[in-house]
Amino acid sequence: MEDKTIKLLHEGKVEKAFTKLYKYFPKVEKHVCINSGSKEEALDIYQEALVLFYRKVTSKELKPGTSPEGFLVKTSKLLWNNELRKKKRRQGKSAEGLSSIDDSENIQEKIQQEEQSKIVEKILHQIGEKCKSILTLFYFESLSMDKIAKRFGYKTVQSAKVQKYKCMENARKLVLEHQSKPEND
Amino acid sequence: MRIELTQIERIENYLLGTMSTGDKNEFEKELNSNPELRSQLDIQTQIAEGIRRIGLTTTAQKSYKKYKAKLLWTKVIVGLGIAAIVGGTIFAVLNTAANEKEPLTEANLEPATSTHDYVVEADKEETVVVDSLEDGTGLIEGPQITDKEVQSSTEFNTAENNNSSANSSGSTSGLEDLDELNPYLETEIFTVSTDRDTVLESKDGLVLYLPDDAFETSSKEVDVILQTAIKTEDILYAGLNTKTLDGVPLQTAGMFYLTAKNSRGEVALKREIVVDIPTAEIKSGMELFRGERSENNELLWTNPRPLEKPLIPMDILTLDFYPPNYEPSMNAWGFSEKDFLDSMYYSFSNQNYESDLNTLIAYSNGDFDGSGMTSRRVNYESYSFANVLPNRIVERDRSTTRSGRKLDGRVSTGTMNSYDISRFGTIMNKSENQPYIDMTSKRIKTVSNDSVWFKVRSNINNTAILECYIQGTNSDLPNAHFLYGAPNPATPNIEDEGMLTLFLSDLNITEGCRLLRIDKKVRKGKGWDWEARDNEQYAEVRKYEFLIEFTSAFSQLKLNYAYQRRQVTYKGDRGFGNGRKKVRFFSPVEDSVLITFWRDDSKDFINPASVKTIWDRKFNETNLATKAFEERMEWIHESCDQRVLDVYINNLNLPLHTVDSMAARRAGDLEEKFYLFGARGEGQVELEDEASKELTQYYKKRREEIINSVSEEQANFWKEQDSLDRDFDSKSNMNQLTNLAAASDFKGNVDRSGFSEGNIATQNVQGERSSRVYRARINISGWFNCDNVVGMVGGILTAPLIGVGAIAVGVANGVKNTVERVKEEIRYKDWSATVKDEGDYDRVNLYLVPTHLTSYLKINKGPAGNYTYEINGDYDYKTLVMAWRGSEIYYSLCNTKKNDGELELALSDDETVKSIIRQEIPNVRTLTENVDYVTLSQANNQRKKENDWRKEFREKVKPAIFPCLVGENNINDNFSGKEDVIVPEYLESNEPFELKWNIDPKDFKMELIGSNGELIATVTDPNGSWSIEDDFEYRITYLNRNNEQKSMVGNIVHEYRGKFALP
Repeated sequence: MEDKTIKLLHEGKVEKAFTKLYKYFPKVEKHVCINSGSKEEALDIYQEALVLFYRKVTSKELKPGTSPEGFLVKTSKLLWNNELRKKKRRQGKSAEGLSSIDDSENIQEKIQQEEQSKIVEKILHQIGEKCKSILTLFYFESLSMDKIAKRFGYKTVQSAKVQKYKCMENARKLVLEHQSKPEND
Repeated sequence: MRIELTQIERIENYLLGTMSTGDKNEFEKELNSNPELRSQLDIQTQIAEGIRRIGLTTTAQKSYKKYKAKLLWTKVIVGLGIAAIVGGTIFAVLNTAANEKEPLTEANLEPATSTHDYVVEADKEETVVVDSLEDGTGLIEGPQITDKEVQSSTEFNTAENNNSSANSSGSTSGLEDLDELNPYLETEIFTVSTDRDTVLESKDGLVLYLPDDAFETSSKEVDVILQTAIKTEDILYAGLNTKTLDGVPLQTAGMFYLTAKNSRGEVALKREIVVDIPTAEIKSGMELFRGERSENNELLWTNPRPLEKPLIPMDILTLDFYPPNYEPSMNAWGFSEKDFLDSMYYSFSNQNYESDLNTLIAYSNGDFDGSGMTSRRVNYESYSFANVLPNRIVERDRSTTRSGRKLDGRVSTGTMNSYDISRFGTIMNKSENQPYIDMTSKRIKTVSNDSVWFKVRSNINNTAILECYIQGTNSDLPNAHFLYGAPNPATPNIEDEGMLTLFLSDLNITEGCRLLRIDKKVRKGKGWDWEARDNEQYAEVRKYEFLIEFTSAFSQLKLNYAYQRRQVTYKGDRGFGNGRKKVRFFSPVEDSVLITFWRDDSKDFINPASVKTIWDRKFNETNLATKAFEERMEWIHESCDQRVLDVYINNLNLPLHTVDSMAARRAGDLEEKFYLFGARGEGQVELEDEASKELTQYYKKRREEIINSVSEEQANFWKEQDSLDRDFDSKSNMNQLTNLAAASDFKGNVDRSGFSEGNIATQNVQGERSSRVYRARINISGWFNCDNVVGMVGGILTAPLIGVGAIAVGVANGVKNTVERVKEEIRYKDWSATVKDEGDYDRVNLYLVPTHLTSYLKINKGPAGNYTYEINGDYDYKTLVMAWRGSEIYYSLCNTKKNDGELELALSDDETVKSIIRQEIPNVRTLTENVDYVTLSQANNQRKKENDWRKEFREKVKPAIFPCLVGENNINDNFSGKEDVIVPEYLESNEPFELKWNIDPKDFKMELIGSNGELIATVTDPNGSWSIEDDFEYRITYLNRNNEQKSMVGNIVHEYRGKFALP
C-alpha cells in the first residue's frame, strides 16, 4: 500500500505531507546532535532531505515500497556525513572516521543534482519579494496567471504575465552574472 | 512586448509543454542551430527548478512550524485535562464532607443548584457554607463546613416547596416577629461571629461585607437574615412592586431584605455594612431605594441614595476583547476554542495595510562601567516616560558572544528598556548621556555617541531593511575593527578615547518577524560601506544590513553586540605606517538593542496586535481588566479608531468615567455612546478602604475556587474538542493555528488555555460571580431596592425624582426617553381588566410588565373590583396574572391591550410558570443567567464539514475583524461591476495611450515607468493622451465617486506583430 504522505505529495499537498513527515525529525535531530551538530543544522539537513524526498516522489524515481521514514533518515545521515566532511576539510583534517552509509538508492547522486538548484535558489532570493512570489505561485503552486493577476492587483492577466517575464529576465541576469564570476565561496 | 520578453515567453511555453506541435518543432529546430537559445533554455530550466526549491524550502519551514504548533496544541489539551480532574476531586471531597455532617436528601436539592448551594430543609438546621475572614487578617478561607457557625434555612416556602416545608411557617423560632420578611421568598440565615470581619455570599450572588462589631449587641453571635429578590420569578411570586411611594415606576436591578437578630430579638446595625449587588450591566442612574410601607401596607420604595460602582478587576484573560462580530461569526462557522480564535485574530496583525510601518522603538542602555576610562562616564537610569507602560522591560542578556566566548568578566551590567514610541508623539529631548530616537532621521541612536546606531531604511511589502551602523575612523587594525574619533589637533599623538571595536554577537528574532538575509559581505567580515558625513570627515561607517520580513504587525528583534574601546598613543609622527603606536584595550562592554516594529496607529482599524498587547495578565488589576472595559471594547472596535483604544490604555491612572469623556471626543459618530458610558460614573480599580480590599480579595478567592472546580462536564467538553481538533487537523485546517505559532506568542496562549475558565469552566458553575456590582453601604436594616426611575407616569414626577430621572438621558436598553420627553410627549392610556372567578383563589398577583424594562408594576384591585392603571402609550406591556389555590398555581400571560377585559386563568405547575416567566418577562440580568456556553458550543460542534474553505476563510473572517476596511481592502473590487476607467492592454506602435473614464476622477495622478524602471513622466490630466514608444508600466491613483482612494498598476506592451526573429 502506498504511503499516505506519498499520496499527498502526488496530489500536490506538499505542506500537509511535510508536516506529517516532520514526525521523523527527532531521530535525525538526535543523530546530528550526537555527531557534533546543532539543532539548527539538523533542521537544515532535514529540510534538504524533505526536498530530496519530494523530488524522488514527484519524478517517480522512488522504489515502490520505500518507507518515507527510512528514506528521510538515511538521506539525512548522508547529508550530514557530507557536511562533516566539508567541515573537516575546512579545518584541514581528513574525513576519515566517518562511518559509511548504505546508499543503495543512489541518493548521493540525487544530492549532487540538487546542488545546482540550491545555488540558483540562493541567487533567486535576490530578485525581490514580489517577483519571488509571482514565480513561486506560478512554478511551485501552479496557480493560474488569472489568479496571480488578481492576487497582485494587476488589471489584466497580460499585465501580470509581462511582470512575470520581467521577473524571469531579472532572474536570468542574476544567474548569468553569478556564472560569469569565478566561484568565491 | 519587448522581444526579450517574448523570447522568455516562448521558452516558458516550451518548458511547460503548452506549445502547439508546429511551434514546438520549429523551436527544437532552432535549439539545434542556436547555442544562445539553448543556453537560455538551460538557464530558464534552472531558474524554474530554483523557484520550485524556494517553494519547497518555504513549505518545509511552514510545515515545521505547524508541526511544532501541533505539539504545543497537544500539550495544551493535556494540561487542561489535568486541571479538570484536580478540580473535580476537590469538589468531590467537599460534597462528601457535607454529606458526612448530615446527609442531604435529594428531595431538598433542586437539580439546578446541586453544587454548593444553600438550600436546606427548614426543620433540620443544617448545612452551611460560609466564607469567613479569620481575625480580620484578610485571609479568606475556602468554603467551610461547620455545624453551628452559620446556618441557612429555607423558610415559609409555602408556594414553591409545597411538600415538606409547606407548613413550616413559623416553626423555626425567632423569625415570626420579623414583620418585614416576605413569606414567599426564601430566607437565608447566616450566623456570624461579631468579633471579626465576615464576608457572606447569598445564593443569588449578593456579597455582604460585615465588619467586626457591626451590631448593637454584646452577644458573640448574631443571625444575619437575608431575603433576596433578584430573579424575576422571585419578584413576581413574592408580589413585590417596583414603584416609589409616590407611584413612579422604577426599573429594578434587584431587591433585598437584610436584618439581624440575636436571641433577644432584632439588633440594629452599628457599623456600615457593604452590600454588592451583582449585575450583568451597569445602568446609569441606578440608586438604592429604601423600602417603606404605604398606607395600604404595600412595600414601596423611597429615599434614593447613590450607589457606588466599583470596578472589580477580573482575570483579563476571561474577558472578551474581540471585535463584536468576530466570535459569533466564528462560532457560526463552527469554531469556538479560545486558542483558535486568538490565533486567527492575531494572525490578522500581519495584513499589509495601507498605513505605514511605524518603526523603531527601543533602546539599549549601556554603561561604560569598569572600563577605566576617565571621561564620558555614563550613568544610565531606566527612563520613565510619561504614559509608557513599563511592561516590556527586558533583562539584558549578556552571557556570551555568538562564538560562545565569554566576554570579559567585567562586562557592565544594565537592563535594557524598550519603549513603544507609537504611544507618544514626541520623544524626550536629545540628551548627551541618553540614547534617543531621532524622529526626523528615524534613527535609533545608542549611547556611545553615535558610534553604534540603527536605522530602518525601507519597508515595502512587509519587509524592511534594518541597518546597523558602526562608525569610526581610519581603520588600520588587522582585524577590521575600527577606530573612532578624530585626532585632537592639540594632542595629535594621542587618539581620542572614543575608539571602538565592535563585535556583532547575535541577532535574535523575538517575535513577529524573520530574518531573510544579512548583507553577505558583512557576514564574511569584509566590505565596508562608506558614508560621507558633513561634519566628520574622518568618519567611516560600517553597515550591517538585515533584511527582515514582518509576519505580524507587532514584531521585535534583539541585536546583541559588544564594543571595546581602545586608546592609541603614537610616538613620533602620526600617519600611515609611520611612527610607533601603543594600543591599549579596555574591557569590552556588551550591549543589546531591542527594536520593535509596530504598524502605525490607524483611524481605520484596531490593530489586533495592540489588542494582543493589552489582553495580557500584565494588565490584571487595572481598569482594563474589568467587565466595564470589556463593554467599552466592543464600541472601541466599532469606532475603528486606534486612538480611542489608546486613550484607555494610556490613562490607567484615571477613573474610567473620566477617560470615557476623553474617548468620546475622539470617537466621532460614537461620541454619544462614550459620553453615556461616562454618565455611569464608573470609577477605577482601586483598593481604597478595608471593605473594598476584603471584597476584592474575596472575589479573587472565589474566582480561583471556581477555576479549581472545573466539572467533569468541562473535561469532557475539552476531550471532545480535542478529538474534534484531530479531525480538524486531518482536514488540513491547521493553517490558522500555525499562523499563531508563527505570528504571535503562542506561549501566552498556552498559558491561557491551561487556565481556560474563560467562557467555559466558570460559566457553568453555579454561583459564578458577576464581576459587575452595584455597591451599597447600609447602616439600617430593612428592605432595599436597587433601581432607577422610569418616566412612565405623567404629572407626578416629584422634585427629588427629577433629580434622579434627569440622568435618564435614555435609560439603558435603548429606551428613548428623556425627562423632557416624559413631560411633553408621553401619551397615557387608561387600562383595566378583571380576573375571572377571582374569589376562588387564595392569592392573586397581577403585574403589568413593560416588555423592555425590568420594571414590575403590581396592580392592586381597585374599589370597583377591577384592576386599573394609566399605561404609557409608548411602551408595550405584558399582563401577567398568577393565582394560587391551595398548592395549585394558575396563570395568564398576554400582551397588554387597551382593555384586557376578563382574564381567564389556566391551571399549571411551578416549573412551567417559571420557565414562561424566564422566557417572556424581562429579567434582571446577572451573569448566572447568561446562556450556558457549553451547551451553545456543543450545539455548534456539528462542524467542520467543509473541506475547501481554507483559502476563502480568511477573507470571510476579515469583515468581522476589520468592519471599517471592508471593500477598501478587497482587491477584487477592481474586477467587479462597472469599472471606473478602461485602460488599453496593447498599443500599436505609435498609437497614443489614453484612458477611457466612466467617472469624473478627482486628484488623478499617473506615473509612467519605462522598462528600465525609470520614471518617464508624471501626469495629472486624466483625459490626456501620451505617445510612448517603449513598453511601460503605469501607476494610477485617483478618488472615485465616493471620494475613495483608488489605485491601479499595469504594464502596457506594444503588440509585436511580425514573425519572431532572433536578434
